[in-house]
Amino acid sequence: MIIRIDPTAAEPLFEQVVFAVKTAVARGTAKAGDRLPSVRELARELAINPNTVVRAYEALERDGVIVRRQGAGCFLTGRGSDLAGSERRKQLQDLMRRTVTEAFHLGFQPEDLRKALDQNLDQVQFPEPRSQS
Amino acid sequence: MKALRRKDGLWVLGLHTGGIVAATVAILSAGGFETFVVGIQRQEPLFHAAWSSGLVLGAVAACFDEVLGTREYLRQRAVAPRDLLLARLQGIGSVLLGWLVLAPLCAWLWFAAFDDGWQFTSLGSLGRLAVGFVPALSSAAIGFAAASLPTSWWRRLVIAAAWWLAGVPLVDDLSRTASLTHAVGWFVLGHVALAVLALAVAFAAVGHDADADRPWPQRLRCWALGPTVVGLGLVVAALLREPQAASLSGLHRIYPQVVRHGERLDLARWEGEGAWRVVTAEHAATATVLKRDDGHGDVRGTWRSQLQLPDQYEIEAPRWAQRVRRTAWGVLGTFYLSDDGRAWWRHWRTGVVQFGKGEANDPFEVGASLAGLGDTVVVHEPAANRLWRLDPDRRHCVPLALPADDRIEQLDSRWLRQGQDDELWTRLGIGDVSSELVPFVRGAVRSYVLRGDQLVAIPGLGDDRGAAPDDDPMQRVPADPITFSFASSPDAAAAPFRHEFTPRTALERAAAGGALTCSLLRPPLLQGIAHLRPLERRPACWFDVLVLGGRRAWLVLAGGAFAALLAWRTARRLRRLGAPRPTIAFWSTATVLFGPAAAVLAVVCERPRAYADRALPGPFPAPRITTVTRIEEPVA
Amino acid sequence: MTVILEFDGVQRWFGEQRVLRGLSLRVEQGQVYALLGRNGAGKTTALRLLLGFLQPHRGTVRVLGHDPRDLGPAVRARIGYVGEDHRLYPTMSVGDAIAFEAGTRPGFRRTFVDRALERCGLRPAQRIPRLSRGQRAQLSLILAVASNPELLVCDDPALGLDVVMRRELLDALIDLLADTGCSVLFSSHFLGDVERIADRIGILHDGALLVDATLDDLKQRVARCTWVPAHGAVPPTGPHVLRVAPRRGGHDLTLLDAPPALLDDLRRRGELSPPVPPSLEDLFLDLTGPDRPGLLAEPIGELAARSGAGGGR
Repeated sequence: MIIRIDPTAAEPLFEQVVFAVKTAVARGTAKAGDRLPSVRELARELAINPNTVVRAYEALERDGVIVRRQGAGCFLTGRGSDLAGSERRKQLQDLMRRTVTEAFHLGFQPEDLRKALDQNLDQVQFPEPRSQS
Repeated sequence: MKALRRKDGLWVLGLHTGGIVAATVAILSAGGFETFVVGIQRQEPLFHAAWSSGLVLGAVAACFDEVLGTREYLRQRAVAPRDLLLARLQGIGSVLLGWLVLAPLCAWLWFAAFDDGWQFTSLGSLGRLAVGFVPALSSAAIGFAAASLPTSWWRRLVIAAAWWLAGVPLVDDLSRTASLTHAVGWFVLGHVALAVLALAVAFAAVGHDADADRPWPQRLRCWALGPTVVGLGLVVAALLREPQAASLSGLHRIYPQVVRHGERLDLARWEGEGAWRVVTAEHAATATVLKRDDGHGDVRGTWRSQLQLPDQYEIEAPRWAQRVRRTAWGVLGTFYLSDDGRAWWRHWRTGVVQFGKGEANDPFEVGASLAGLGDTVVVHEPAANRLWRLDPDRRHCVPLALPADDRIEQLDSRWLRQGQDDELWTRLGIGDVSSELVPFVRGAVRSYVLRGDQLVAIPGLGDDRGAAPDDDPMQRVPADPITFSFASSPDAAAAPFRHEFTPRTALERAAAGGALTCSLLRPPLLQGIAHLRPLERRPACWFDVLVLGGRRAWLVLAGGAFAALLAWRTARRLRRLGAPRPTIAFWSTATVLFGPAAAVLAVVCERPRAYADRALPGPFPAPRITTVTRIEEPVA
Repeated sequence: MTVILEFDGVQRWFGEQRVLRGLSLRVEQGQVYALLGRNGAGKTTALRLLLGFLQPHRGTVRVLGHDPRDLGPAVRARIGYVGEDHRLYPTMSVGDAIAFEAGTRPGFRRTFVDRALERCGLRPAQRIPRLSRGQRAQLSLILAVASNPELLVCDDPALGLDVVMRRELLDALIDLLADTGCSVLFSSHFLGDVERIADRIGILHDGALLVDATLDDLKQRVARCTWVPAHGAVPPTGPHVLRVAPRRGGHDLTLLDAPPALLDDLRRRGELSPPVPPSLEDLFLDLTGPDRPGLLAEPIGELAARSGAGGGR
């Protein structure tokens, strides 16, 4: 699992860590049952405050992405985020807006964009749809 | 503690070495034989080496961390500040002990290796050497305490100077006996007391950091600045002796003389080139000029100034009550006689030989004296009234036959000059030199020189003693240096004459005023003590000659009033600065007791900056951007 | 959360120079607090006050529940300190320095030090004066944390270090945080490092804190945008505008808690770029840069009014 962050970016560091883990799950580079690096390992690897890693792991645990087993570490559940519906929707909207704007400025047509989206969707193994909460 | 010793290791080692080298050189510079066998009266080099090394030791011990820049690193250790101080004192103690033990040992080894006579080493000389190191103890304590004070470098320097420049001469003065030698016990006790006082100050300074923007705590002020005020007062008093003495001797120069011309006595001033101008009783010049060749006969002044000034202020090595007679005698070598009657003969070829009376080489009586005479040396035993002459071949002393009708008083010597003492010159058969110091034996009746093994009386050799200053026709004026009276002796040929000397002209008043001003600037406490003391022959340097022996109470009071004025001004300044009441009380008392010295010190030590109340009124500025979190009670 | 150290309205002068004019800040247990500020802003003074090397003129300082004026050896043992110039005894070797540290602080972890020394390639026989600046800084930090302090105070630990050494130092600090969870108060000029490890930052300017906030909070609340006004439109002012810097054809705005109404108004009166959170460096420059002499901390009354209006979080 590759986790990379950019400390100078606008996003808070712990969100970057959360996003990196989620990306890995989404891309399928990390599977259910994989062990996450320990707080200390990851903090050293990323050269960030261990407290930040702890917060990120707590957030992931809240989202149901990982599960903490006492004494053994944190493990991926393999599930997607348990985020509430409206927040999920808003984030999706944000992502799409950015993608569409960038594509427009790069001179693409809507068909190119759809094609590219389909290609990307093929790379990701989505789990079976869950019932909406 | 072990770790603290480790960090001090560098200076401990460095000062060990430096001090031992300095002290060894100082000991040996007086001569190994003189130091370890005969015992010397005064160890000037050792004294100066001891105090200067001591000051350096104390200052280095106190400032080591400050100079390295590790002061705050050290403060952050989990060590109580008191333990830090104790560790430093341990270092100082070990260095001092090293000097005390190793320096004499090194010097003795050097002496034993490169000099003769080590087999005669006396243990008593080691004790004297140890006493010679005592000033290192007090100087180290003073240097340490002053350098530990939380204030600027130059103030620490001023404080150390005040303590040391007053403390060491004070101990010197207190331990001095009537015969101008020093009592060992009082000397040691005085220096130990100085060291204890200084260490008390060092302990009072524990845990305080230098901060120019805060006043000192009152406890530290009392402990550190109290002794400083006293010391500065003493030093100022001692230093005022010089301008005062200059004013007084100037006054005596411009006072008119009482001149005798023919049958008359008159007041007159010397005008140079043999001329005296007569002045009135009010010291105003008249038209009359007296000259030797005007038919006035021999015109002579009739009084001479004899100022009883206090001792000069100097830092001197103590002088132990020990009389070592030593004489050098050309080809025969050097002879020593110690105060316990043992005698040595030292020669570059034969080494050191101990000699004494007769074949048995018995020691001489205590109080014997030794002098070169003829081509050998003689030893005089005053109690037994005997003279012993050293026989160089037999290496012991043989008795000299004494004239039956005379008693030997002392071994003496006299300078003879060609052209002045020609009669004696031929009688003694001195060669072609312009002057010569002639040693001789002074008897109650005649004086003798040694020819072979016979005493030969030389008439007129001992006559120089008769011309004592008592026969001077001039009257000496000892009493008060400013106002005194002159009266012609009743049996004088001239008509009776009497004059009260007191400043009458502007110039005389100015000179007297200078001397009185010096008195005003002295510490009132010392003036009061001087006023109560009797007029001694050699008063200590801090006492004012103008008030000693109960004179001029008004001058003491005037000095007190001046000090009170200064104290009032000091208190007013401190109140304006915003100093608390105990601080004001401290400086007012100090200024009343010690006058201008304390007032100046108050200005130097109490700066407006420390008392400035610059606090901004609330509310406190708050950040423009803040994240508010709920805070529970702080950890206990 | 328990408070490890606290400054409350601390004022301190050096002669006529006002260095701190009412510093208030708190560091909670486990927090990493970065004290930022330009040279001479009072960072070192604040840290020296905290350790009792200096006394405040007004206000109080508490550290581990004690007044720094009488920190006993037992309390000092719980505080690690790395001074500005990593001062160690130049008379010692590395081994001596370790032994000295071990002898003057209880709870010294010998094995930790041995491992740490090995990791950064220091040998006990090396003399302190022969060490490079970076090695000295590392050794200072290792010694400061060797006895497991509850609070670590560092005065610009990375000053004068090269990039590699700074990263090594950061690693040592991260290890310490991961191992012990101690609280850290440090001052620094390296904002990149600060962004990596600080939980909360304080920007000290002109003797008081201009910012005392968590990094995440700052990134959410502060926004930078470029505004090209329509002809004749004047730049906005008010509590939400931290800085207006003229630029080609318009202004760079730094906004705090910008309400939508303000943004709408700006859009109406000119062209507005989408607001983005600034990096710490940008923010630092915006707040303390040379063209901002007038931006000072504000009296507490205004703050209360604003947080009452929902400005605070």
